[in-house]
Amino acid sequence: MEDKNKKIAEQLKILNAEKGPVSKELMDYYKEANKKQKAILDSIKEKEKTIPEISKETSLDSKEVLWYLSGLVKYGKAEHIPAKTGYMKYKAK
Amino acid sequence: MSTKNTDVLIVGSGIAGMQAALDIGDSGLNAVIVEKSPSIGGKMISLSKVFPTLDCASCITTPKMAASSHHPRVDIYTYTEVKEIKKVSDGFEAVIIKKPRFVIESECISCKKCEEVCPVYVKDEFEYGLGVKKAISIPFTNAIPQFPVLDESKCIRCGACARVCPKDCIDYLQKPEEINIKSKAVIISTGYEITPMDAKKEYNGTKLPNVISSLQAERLLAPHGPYGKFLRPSDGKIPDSIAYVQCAGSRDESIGIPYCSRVCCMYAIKQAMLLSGMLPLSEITIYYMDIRAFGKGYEQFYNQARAMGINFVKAKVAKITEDEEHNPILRIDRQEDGSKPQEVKHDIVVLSQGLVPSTKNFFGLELEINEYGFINQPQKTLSPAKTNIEGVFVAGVASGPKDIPDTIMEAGSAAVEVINYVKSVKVGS
Repeated sequence: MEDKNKKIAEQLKILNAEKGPVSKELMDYYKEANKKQKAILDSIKEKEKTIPEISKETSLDSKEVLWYLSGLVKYGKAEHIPAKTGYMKYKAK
Repeated sequence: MSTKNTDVLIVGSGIAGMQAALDIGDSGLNAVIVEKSPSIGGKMISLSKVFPTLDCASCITTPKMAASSHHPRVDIYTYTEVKEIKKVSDGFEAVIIKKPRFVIESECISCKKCEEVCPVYVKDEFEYGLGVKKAISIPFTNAIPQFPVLDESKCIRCGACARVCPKDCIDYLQKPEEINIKSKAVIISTGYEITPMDAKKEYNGTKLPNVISSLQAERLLAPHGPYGKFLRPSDGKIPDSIAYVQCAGSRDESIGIPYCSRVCCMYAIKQAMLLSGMLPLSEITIYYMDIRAFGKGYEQFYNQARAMGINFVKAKVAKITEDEEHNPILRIDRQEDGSKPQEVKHDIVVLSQGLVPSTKNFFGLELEINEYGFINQPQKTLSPAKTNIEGVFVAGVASGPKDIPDTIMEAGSAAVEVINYVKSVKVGS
């Protein structure tokens, strides 16, 4: 395991030397995205909610909430409760 | 640079490229498919169902993908660009560039552990931007090959994927690889793109969140689509009112695409019928100029849609705007009852875009193309696969818009032409 970690660290070091460090824009995007995912998951931890409700609670744009929720559902962190009309509800797993 | 010899080089692995490769392989000749995307399957693998049979598109495409990838006489290079193709004395020489996936393919067991631990969400191109994938991910569930691709522009170099990989096959230092392909003949099956969303400025396709493309609608209708249901992108509402705008990217001189794309009427009707089943309480309206239901069973399909209660309104849509809740507002001119222009509101609008060539530069080959960028067929009636260059053949939408049955038939025709050509060259040499 130590050898593996050492090899990965060496590769990343060479990569950083070749291409420069990860851009600030990308790191900012990543940090921001993490905060948004956490806010959405916190919002639906106790009770299932619709996208407009989550959007209101987190102050995130509803389009963005839907996009993040599609990822959270895909990667098993949330689930949706089917509906026939109106809005589906989402709940953290 | 390594060199690979084959009988036929096929550029593009959509349904046309795969069908041609399978027929060529079955005949005893060898074929190499070069595909720019990380998976074979083309556009068809992303469709929900096909018209007029409503068969599952994936159920037709996946077996072809599997057959192509397992065929002993078909070799496939995915995530690979064709740099150039040159005609030489004994056939063709192509230079292809295999882009780095940053994964050692011979070691990867497709366990998806790298994707699970990757912390970066990015837009999923397979879902036309509607869904999420990770910075390292397998392109889609039934992709072939099942190898992940690391998007180096989105990677934060945390090393999580490499640490979790049980086969140690993440290689951050992988470089592009140039390969020389020598072949006796070439088939161009590069397919199509849909008319850009901003082609018709009046429709505000790139500005209004609830005006979506026909391929985005296909993904929303697919059983494993991005949201698990047909939801509108602005707020996840299940739409009560859905509109289709026909000829939103063809039969329009003003955008330089005066030709009919042949499939838009039928795919809109198909999507409307699927929606009618998925959302039985929703109202679905198709705004059209003419319905062109020209193929076998198409007219019956159209009549069936009418009988299902889908509204067909003969009207030209002049402009699309939205209200404060992002509901699209269509300004329409009805063409039947002489009524005045009116404004109608819907929850979501699908633009029935046309088909345009996916490339206009055919890798340095001096192919004759028509004024719209499709490859000319000098002997369209007797030998539709032939081009102006001896030994170069065309299959599928690269020569002009057509539906899936016509594409498959033309691919079979291209395979027969190319088999005869390669055998005649072999006998002659």
